[in-house]
Amino acid sequence: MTISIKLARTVKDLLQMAQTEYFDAGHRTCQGCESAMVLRWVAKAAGPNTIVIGATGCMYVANTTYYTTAWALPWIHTQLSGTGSAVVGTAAALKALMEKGKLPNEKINVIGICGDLGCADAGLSEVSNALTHTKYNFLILMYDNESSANTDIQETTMTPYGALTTFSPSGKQVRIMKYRWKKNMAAMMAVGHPEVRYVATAIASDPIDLYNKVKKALEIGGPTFIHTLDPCPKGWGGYDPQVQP
Amino acid sequence: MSVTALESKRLEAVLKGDEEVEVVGTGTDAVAYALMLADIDVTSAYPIRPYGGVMQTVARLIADGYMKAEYIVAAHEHDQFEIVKHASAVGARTFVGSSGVGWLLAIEAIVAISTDRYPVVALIGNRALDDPGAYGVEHNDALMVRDVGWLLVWVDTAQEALDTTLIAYRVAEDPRVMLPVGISMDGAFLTHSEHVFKIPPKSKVQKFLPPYDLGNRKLHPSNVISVAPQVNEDWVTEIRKQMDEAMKNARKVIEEVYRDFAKIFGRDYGNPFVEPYMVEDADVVMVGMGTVSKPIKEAVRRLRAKGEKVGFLRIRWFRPFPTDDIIRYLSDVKVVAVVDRDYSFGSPFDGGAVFTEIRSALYEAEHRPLMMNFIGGLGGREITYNDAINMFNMALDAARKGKVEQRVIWYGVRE
Repeated sequence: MTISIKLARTVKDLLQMAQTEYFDAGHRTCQGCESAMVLRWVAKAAGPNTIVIGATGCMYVANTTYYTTAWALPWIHTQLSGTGSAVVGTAAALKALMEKGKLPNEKINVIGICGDLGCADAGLSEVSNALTHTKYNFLILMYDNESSANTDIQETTMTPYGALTTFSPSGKQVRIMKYRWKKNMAAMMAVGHPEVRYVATAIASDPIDLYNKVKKALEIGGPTFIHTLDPCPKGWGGYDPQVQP
Repeated sequence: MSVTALESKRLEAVLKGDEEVEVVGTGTDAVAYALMLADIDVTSAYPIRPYGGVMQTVARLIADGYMKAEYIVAAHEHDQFEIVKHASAVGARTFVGSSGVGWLLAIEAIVAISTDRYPVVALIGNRALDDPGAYGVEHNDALMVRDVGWLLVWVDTAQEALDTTLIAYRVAEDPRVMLPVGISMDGAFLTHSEHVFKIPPKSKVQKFLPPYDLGNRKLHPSNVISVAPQVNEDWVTEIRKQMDEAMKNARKVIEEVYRDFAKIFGRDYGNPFVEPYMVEDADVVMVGMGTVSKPIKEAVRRLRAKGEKVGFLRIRWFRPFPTDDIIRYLSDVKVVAVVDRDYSFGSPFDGGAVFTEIRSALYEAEHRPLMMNFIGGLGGREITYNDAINMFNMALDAARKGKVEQRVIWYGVRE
């Protein structure tokens, strides 16, 4: 399959193509928060004809304080495990309403955003079910900060082996409380869902790549999935931002 | 599996003609036909008995082209309810349903539907909760959401199920209400039994039910809004108060909608909230919800024939609770006997949920009747005509003595 979309090749391209901010001022994340950077580039790549669904998680709590939301796109909350369901419901409704002539026929991007807890743990079955619904066009974005960052930094299945979290401290008797290995979500989504149309991994420090991948996913259509890795250093055990290495 | 030739002929008639058509079908079939007439846009299915029949009929109707809707098979009930919530948010008319433990698995999404004010209509094929397993009816599943902004209605015939489904959309989508409606139907007794009922023509339904319009709350790129952001203590109280107002408004809206229904379809349910049956001058009135009405009404007729002054009051709308009607019909009788197909362990006087609420409503009445509570018919156990006669005899005995010896009776329990 060939897709004809304009991708960014250089930083200059990127700055030209993505001038408008759709994830703007108003959020309460730390300076340099990688998950917030991911959302900023995802929103830029998606553009204004987009509905964003945000599951409970740090990017819900930090970004959508009433009166100061960072979103300049239509946005709705879904429950912690609801992302897969919400994108399917939204995309299905748009399809039905457009086919029945109750909404003008146009391309509207549907993007569901969930953290590692909401996607890889609580919402895994919904995300998996969503990726089998080939009739509908949507992107599920898992921003993986490797912890439950909204609730005091607890371990999730996406927390790396051996990491210190409030649920997995290191003690005198038990040296490693996080003894489980991280799941491989992108591989699981790609291998386990024969008709998923696009699966990618990305990182905010390579915004050209991230931007292009979001563009591709939305252009290809059908169920698509992107896993971004954006660790939350605030949660690293013993991390003190005042101490420079 | 597909629509039969006879059914096809009848469906064509209601879709194209102006006359209602009489059919034989189950309670869940009746709801499915109503969904066809209401032109729902999105529905999500997950198998559980006894509600599941409705989704099988809807699937047939879509497959054979009698209705057009996105039919989404969900991963589980939480997925199912979250799907319709978000479909409703972009302006789709939706339907969903479940039973027993399935309804409870979805409860987080169920609450978010009402707190986000989406007029989803759900069918609850009432079923006992696990453990241990039981397919049969019990009302505790639906009653779990009695405090969180769902309108709850109990039906007792297939005709009432069909009509109430249409009424439910009209009430839920009214801008003064904008709350979801749960239609409760006794598992097996109504979901699976065959009834004769009439399907109204689509032309009349279009007159009765305007298109779903979310107004400026519709999520769309042309309407950049944020739905359900973090508000914390700043606004939660105000948002809950708005729901309180909407629920109170629903009483008036329900009355209006039933009046309109009678005018357009020619079927008049009288009082929308409760169905009084031979309650005039009654000394003893039994109260219940759902299909328990059948044996009790039969017992009322026979006891009346013998000169006993007994009656029956069937509660249709449990939320909003028909407080005024409860006071009007029950405060002047000698004994009110409530049949609860549910339990509420540790509640005041250890009675059932319906008993406790009726008792609370009657506290404000000028005259307060004696009250008895029969907890029974759990897990689908039948409450027969003989049971109803026994219950009436116990209540009549209390009326004669002017005293209730045992307030809450677990009826027919083996000890």
